[in-house]
Amino acid sequence: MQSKRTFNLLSRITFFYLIFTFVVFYFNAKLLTKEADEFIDSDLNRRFGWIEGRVEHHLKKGRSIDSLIGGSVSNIQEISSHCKKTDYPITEDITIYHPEIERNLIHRRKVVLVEANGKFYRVSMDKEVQNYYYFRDDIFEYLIPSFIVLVILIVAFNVLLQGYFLRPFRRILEAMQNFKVGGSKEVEKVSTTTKEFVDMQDLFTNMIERIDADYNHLKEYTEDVAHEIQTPLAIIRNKSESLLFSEKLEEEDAKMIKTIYDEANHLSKLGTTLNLITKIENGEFTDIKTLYTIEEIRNQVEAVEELAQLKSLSIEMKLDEEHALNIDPYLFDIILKNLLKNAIRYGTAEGPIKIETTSTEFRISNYGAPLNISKDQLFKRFVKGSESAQSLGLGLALVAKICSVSGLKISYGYERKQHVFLLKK
Amino acid sequence: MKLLLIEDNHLLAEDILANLKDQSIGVEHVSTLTDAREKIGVYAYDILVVDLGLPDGNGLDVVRLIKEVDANAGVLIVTARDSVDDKVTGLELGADDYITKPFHMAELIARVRSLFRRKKLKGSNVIEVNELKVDISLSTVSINDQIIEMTKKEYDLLLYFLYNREKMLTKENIAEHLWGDHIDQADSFDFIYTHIKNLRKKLQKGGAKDYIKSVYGMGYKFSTSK
Repeated sequence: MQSKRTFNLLSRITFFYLIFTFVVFYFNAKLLTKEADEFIDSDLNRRFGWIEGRVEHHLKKGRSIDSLIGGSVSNIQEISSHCKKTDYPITEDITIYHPEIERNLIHRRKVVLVEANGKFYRVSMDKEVQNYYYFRDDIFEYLIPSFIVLVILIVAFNVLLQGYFLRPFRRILEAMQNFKVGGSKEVEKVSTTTKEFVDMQDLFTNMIERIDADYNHLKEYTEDVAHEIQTPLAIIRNKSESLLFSEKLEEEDAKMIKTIYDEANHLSKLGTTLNLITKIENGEFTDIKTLYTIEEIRNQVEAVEELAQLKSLSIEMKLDEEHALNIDPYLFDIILKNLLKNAIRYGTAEGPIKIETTSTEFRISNYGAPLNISKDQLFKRFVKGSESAQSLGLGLALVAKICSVSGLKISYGYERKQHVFLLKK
Repeated sequence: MKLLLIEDNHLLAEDILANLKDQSIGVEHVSTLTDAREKIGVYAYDILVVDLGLPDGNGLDVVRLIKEVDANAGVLIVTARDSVDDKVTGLELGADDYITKPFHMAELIARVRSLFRRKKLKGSNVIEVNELKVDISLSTVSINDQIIEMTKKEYDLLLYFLYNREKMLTKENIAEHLWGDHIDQADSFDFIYTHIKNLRKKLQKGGAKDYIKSVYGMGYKFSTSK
């Protein structure tokens, strides 16, 4: 499964905050610019209106056109009365060169139609607007740098705040991560005055207490069951054992008692093993260390070599001194015992049982006919490769369970008539 | 040998008492921690068999106490929990051995006897049955003072029989003693048969009587009576 990319909360908030600020700044600038444009337009229109009025007034008084040109009035032309009156007024921005300052300056030109004494005049008026525009553009020029400064400040604050405000948060998380069900260590209390963190910590603390309590109840229950069941079983077994050898017993009865005896044994083993699996699941084996396996393998093989020989099986070892695992030695002992037990139980005399270690791998193989169950079933509980009533069907489940809690990988394969179990880090 | 059994389950205690008495082991029984403290305070015992789960406390307290009172007493703890922690703590406190419930009576007797020899019979670690002699400190077996070569398993088997003289031992029982949980029991019966056959052959060849008797094909018994 592809995991989603994650961002930390403050960065995310900051990011959205910046987008928001940018939008505000942008629209603010837009608004100010619009305001400025409107102001420019209305101011110029007021001035042009006044000039237009004056020109009209003078024209009506019969003053000559030439005497009226000058200042803001750049041109007056008499035009035919059939001209398209709807074309006027015309407003446009033009650039005019000013030789005295050697620069082009933007001017607003307004051309209007003036009627005086039955004649039509086309009056052009110019007003310099360059400075207005400069002023308007300054809005952007000032807003952009202040936005950048704000961004820098916010980002810097974010970094500082992450360190300062979120420290308790991180410490709480760390404390939670170190929490182990059934562990003897108290969960560290992080002192903080931030309400959310206090709430979170309280919640965690309550949860942990509940989990611990549940766990302890379950553990007690399991242990009690295991304990209480073993004693009656021991009694059943002992009584049936004494009965078994009673001289008054008929053979038929002896057989039945033998069954009781066998089943009591079976039940007892079953209880012990299931209890062990539960303990492993609960992570009760915590004596984890780097274990060099060579010694342990040799000892275990020595203990079962005789059993193998009686089945005409030989055990070949090729061990690497460097092979080591991070595991509770007791658990490795169980793995080894069960794999060896398995190999001896199912091994055939066609070839030897081989145990090989390299610096990274442990491999055990035995000859035998292919499995009559599927490969996936192999590590499940109560799946047996044989009809034997004495096999619990828990050995490989136990091995798989230990591997999964110890971060090891166990795999099975069948190659060249051999069953191979491979244990890898 | 004087033994104190501290076990709260009366049926189990009865069984143990009966079996130990059969083996001529002097035994007293208490079922609570308080009674145990009282007994230990007044009498001296060679061996204590202590169940860890007692109604009024943890049997480990008894272990602690006996080690203060009589450091030389042998302590065998009985645990049902199969808990590694309990075993380790028990052994650290000075318990000499542990046995996990449910155990075979023969196993308990063997442990008790072995513990008694180790703790109390220093120097005289020899079991003698007529012409047969086993020196435990040297791990040797001799018949009429002739040393017989044995494999480790044969030696263990013989010792187990000797510790449980006149007592029936089932195959399951023997298998568990010899191999622990190294192998499932059904597989081991053939091996037991082979071992016992070899052991009998060696003993008879060395000039001993055939003490090991097969009972209904269900078990074996080491018997000096006819």
